Amino acid sequence: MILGNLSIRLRLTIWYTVVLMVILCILSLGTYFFIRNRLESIERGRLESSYTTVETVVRNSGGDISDIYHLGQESLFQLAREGRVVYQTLAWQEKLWSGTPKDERTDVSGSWQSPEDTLYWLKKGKEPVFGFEIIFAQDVTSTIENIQGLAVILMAGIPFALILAVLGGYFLAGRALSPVKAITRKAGEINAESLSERLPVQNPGDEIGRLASIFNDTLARLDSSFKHLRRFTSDASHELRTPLTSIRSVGEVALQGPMDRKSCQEAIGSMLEETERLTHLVDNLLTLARGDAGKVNLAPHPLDLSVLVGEVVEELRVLSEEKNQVLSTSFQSSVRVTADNSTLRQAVSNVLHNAIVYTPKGGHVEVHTAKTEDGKAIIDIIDDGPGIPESERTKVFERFYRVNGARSRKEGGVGLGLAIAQWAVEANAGAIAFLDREGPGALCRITLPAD
Amino acid sequence: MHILVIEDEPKVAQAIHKGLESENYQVTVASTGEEGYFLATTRAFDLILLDLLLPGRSGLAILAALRKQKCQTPVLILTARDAVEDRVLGLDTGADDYVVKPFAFSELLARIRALTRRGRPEQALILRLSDLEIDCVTRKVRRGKQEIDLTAKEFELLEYMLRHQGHIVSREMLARDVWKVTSRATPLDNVIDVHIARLRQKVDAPFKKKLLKTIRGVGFVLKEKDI
Repeated sequence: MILGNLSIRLRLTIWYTVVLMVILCILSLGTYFFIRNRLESIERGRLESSYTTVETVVRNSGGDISDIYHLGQESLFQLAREGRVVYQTLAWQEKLWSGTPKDERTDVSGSWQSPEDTLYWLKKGKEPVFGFEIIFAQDVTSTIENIQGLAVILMAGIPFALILAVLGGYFLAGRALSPVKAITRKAGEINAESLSERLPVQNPGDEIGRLASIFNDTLARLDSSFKHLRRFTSDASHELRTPLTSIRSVGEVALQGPMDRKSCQEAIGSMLEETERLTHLVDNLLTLARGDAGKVNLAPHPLDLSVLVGEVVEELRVLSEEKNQVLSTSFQSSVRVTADNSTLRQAVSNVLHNAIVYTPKGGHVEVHTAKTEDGKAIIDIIDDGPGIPESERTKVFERFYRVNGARSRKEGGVGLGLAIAQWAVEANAGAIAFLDREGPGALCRITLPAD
Repeated sequence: MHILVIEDEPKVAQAIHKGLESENYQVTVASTGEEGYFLATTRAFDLILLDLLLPGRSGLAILAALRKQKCQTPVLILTARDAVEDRVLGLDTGADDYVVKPFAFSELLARIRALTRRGRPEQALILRLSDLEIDCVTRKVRRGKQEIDLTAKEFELLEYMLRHQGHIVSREMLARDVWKVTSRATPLDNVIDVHIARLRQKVDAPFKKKLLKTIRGVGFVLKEKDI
């Protein structure tokens, strides 16, 4: 496409100039020919009827044309017989006779232009009437001039209209596209540091406004994921640096101190502990990264939810026993789901571990499974610990997020357990959320499509 | 027992070298793929430890070439890539086992023992250490004259520890072999610690001689002598 490289504004202008030109040409030609036809046929009609009048008079005269002058001297006609003019009106004589070669006077047909530029249309009878050849003339100058004038106006008007169209079109296209220009400029300014800025939306109802709004939504999502990423990076580096710092300082201090077997063992053991923590953290991050990249191959099988949850509960029961907690369960029989055993187990295990860790000694933790009436399988994990404030209930699933912003490691985890649980549940087409509950504590519900 | 270690990272290679020598293995280290391949094809080894990411010839290429030449030496792959597909690829190419970096040295030793023992199954039914004795058929545990009651999990744990007596057992090994959990991102470490504590309470606490020891930051070991 030749126009491909031009701006939309120019292309629009060219397009409707061309279209307008075609329309104007067709319209002008139509108008011209229609009006010309009309005017000419009116003239012709008049010529015809005037001629007929003369012819009728001659026919009725029975060959005697002595009364013919009654038709008036203003009419333009002449009668000839055997090539010789026998009668001419006064007007004919004045207007046509003068300056006209003699031999043409009897043999006229069509039109004749006088030296004074007056145009006459002539009508000659097909057959002589009583030997008389009748020629009638009619002055059509003004009509022809009108027609020519029309042609001139149209010819001059089209380019004028086109120039107006180009200018107007260019202006209108510019106006219509001005929001695009503003959006382009703004979008060019927005980068990773200014993702909170938004594009101008002049009229949210029109196409460009909708485009800008949608783009703004995209920006908002981008902004929030950038913020997440930034916080994630800073949290991750904190979590990675802490054990590294410990390893380093323990090593350095040990090198400076006494090098006996006991303190060496102490120092190395401590460093290895931190290494284990680092390994654990990297394993967790890798699990999440693989989930993000969609690189985990799940093998969904039909399974009995209560069996799976029961196994997880028994696995972790020792932890609650250590804290003298009451870990009670109630499982509805045969709640079946199709899910990947390993990831789902991981999700339940992480949530339950969390509940046990955050519930104080002697507290209660309950695990329920059930099937709802609308065909969902649910796992409820309830504790009577401190609970989670409503404003934090979605944030707790964010990576490294901690209620109160505490970065303490007292509870052992690094703050990825719930993020992994969320990923694992969602990978199995489920949902996980902390819900309201009567009384203190937290209620975490995992919802899965039941078979 | 002669082990070829093909590993380009000098610190890791040196650590493995030292560690294996202290376990009385004879060790040869190759630091490039080419060198490793040359050694593996010209000399006889009982086991090859193979890093996958090597300069020059990659570990998988070496493995494929060795297997093509009908070299039957057991190969244990060391790699940082632990996606299931990577493991399958390695095993399909002809590796005998797989250890993911960062690995616990105790685990590497356990895998090496398992590989070099392969072919002669020895599933003793009665395991002993000092005056501790368990019967894997009747699932009875006794220390000296005294019978000890263990839960099923505690018994499995003790049996595993006894089968690896004298060797350090890491939490990862226990998670995988006793709890059968393959995923590494689980809260299982705490569970293992509690079980070890309870086992110690039953098996060691009432007796003078302590057998179950914790190696800080590494794992646990069942051993008569102190370390």
